[in-house]
Amino acid sequence: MFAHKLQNLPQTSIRRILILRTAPVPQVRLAVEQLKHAYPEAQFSVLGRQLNHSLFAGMQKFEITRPWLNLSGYRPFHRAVEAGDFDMAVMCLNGDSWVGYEQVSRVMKRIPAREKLVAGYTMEWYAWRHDIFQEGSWLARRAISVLETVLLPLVYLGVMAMPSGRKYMPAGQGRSAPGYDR
Amino acid sequence: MKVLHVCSFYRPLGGAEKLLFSVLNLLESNGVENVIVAPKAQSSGPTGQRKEYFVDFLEYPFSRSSLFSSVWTNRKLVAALREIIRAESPDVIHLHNQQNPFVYWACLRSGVPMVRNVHDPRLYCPTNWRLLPDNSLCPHPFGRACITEGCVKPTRNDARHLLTTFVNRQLSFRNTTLIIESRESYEMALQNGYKDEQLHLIPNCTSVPSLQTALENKKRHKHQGQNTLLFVGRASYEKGLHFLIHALPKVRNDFKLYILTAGDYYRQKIEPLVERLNLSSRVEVRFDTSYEETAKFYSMADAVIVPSIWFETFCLIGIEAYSHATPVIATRTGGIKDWCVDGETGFLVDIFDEDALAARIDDLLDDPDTRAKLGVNGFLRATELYSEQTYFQRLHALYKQVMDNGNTDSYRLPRLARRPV
Repeated sequence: MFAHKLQNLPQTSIRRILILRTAPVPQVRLAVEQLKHAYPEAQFSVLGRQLNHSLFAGMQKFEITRPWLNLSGYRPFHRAVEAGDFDMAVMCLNGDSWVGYEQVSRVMKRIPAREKLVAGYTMEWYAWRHDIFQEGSWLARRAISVLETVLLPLVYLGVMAMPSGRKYMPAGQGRSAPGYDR
Repeated sequence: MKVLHVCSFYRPLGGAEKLLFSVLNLLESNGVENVIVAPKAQSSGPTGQRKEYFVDFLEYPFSRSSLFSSVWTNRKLVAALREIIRAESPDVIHLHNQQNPFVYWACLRSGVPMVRNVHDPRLYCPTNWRLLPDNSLCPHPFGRACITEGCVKPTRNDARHLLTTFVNRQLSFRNTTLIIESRESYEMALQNGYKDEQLHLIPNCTSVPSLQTALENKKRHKHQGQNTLLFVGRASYEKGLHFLIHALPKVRNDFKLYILTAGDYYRQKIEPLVERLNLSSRVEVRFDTSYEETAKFYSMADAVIVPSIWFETFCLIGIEAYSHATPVIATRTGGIKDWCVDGETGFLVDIFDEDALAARIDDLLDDPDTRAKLGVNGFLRATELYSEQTYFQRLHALYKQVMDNGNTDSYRLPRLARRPV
């Protein structure tokens, strides 16, 4: 499947935009700047983790605590996002590759926005479609997904069966950590 | 001799990449042919200095991809790698900073002897930095404690990460010599089930000018009337910037701290802390500084601070500071203990001991003679132990050794899971 590259951002009236923060701040900043330029009147909201940054100041924040945005991380904000009545949702890519965004794309699928876009790594814009983040036939995906569901608990059991052995902690290093904000 | 280098980052980034480019130049100036395999990325294009292949998905996001997606996508990568290895017929494959088990597997299948740099504990730590959830150092080897200590949670992403670490670790017992950078890394590799005969200690290197040049540069770049401290590196938690910033209000002397870093983390976590502690006028940050510009800061600094709070595998910053005749104040952890001799080339403090760190900074700022003496001692230590020529000799000897041994399976596991000692 190939993504459809957009020549320009949609020329429609956009009042509310939801950004999915799935890339580092500099990458998201480029996307936000272009959007602000194209839609100067639009209000921005952001969904993702680590939103304590000046870029997101003034935006409505839906901050997830999980390491990566997926459906279960999105669930607590589902109703608020629906109520947000967004005209546009944008997911940002952090690399040339489209791989690894399947879960984010599932979240995109659930967001009720009129326009759904992908901000590419090279700052090109694409129309979002879930199938560009998936490969292979449905049957093969389903079969391996079931296999993974069985396999992953076995990984836990396998590692649990490995004794932890001797500890290693030279003098001066085993101090308990102060409560720095990591 | 032809060496195929597989690296996840083929551009100036951190210490590992700086070492990579030094090694490539060293090998080439001594007649070794290098071939590069690196990921296709906007930021790392061909340099034209050597034969280079750019492939998709070398750095694959396993934790956020389904098993299907991982297998489906990486099968193309494996085929591409096998084709490259067949076409190039290298004598040795050298893996740098590479965490994709499919890459490892493809290289192993080729039967070419392999060496692999160990820049961090990722081979056996699913959280990468060997830090427990409470941010203290983890004393455990890979195994049950990864789950019981709460490092790996019962989520799909964590399970994928655990699986990746598990497979990487299992593969790394086979036909690979691990290049270990420090004695403490060596100890931790032994603790994690690796055997002595698989480990090869080669400390990192840096280019060292003459002492006269280093001292002249120091004089030229020194800001008269200003005490200058320097931190170089990523601002992430394990590098200890929190620790350093918290210690600064306890320093008696006036000073200016320069932080040379990159990435988001500084703005998110450190900048608010600097403001909260009213240090904004005494701390200056520079992003994405070039290697050349960084060298000037090393010369300018009265002391370089290395406040790492993890099992630092080596930390190139220290010996780079030494090569500019600048003393270092560092934490007593990991590979730092190999190059920093307490009281001779700098000072060591225990991790998280803010009072001791502040006191040692004052000790150096109070006494220019001690500063100069420690700086020269550090320079001599870098010249003696960490020169590029010494590194080349050690690495070249290792390549020859693994070529002579050929494709042995001497490290092959007797069972699926090799037990840590």
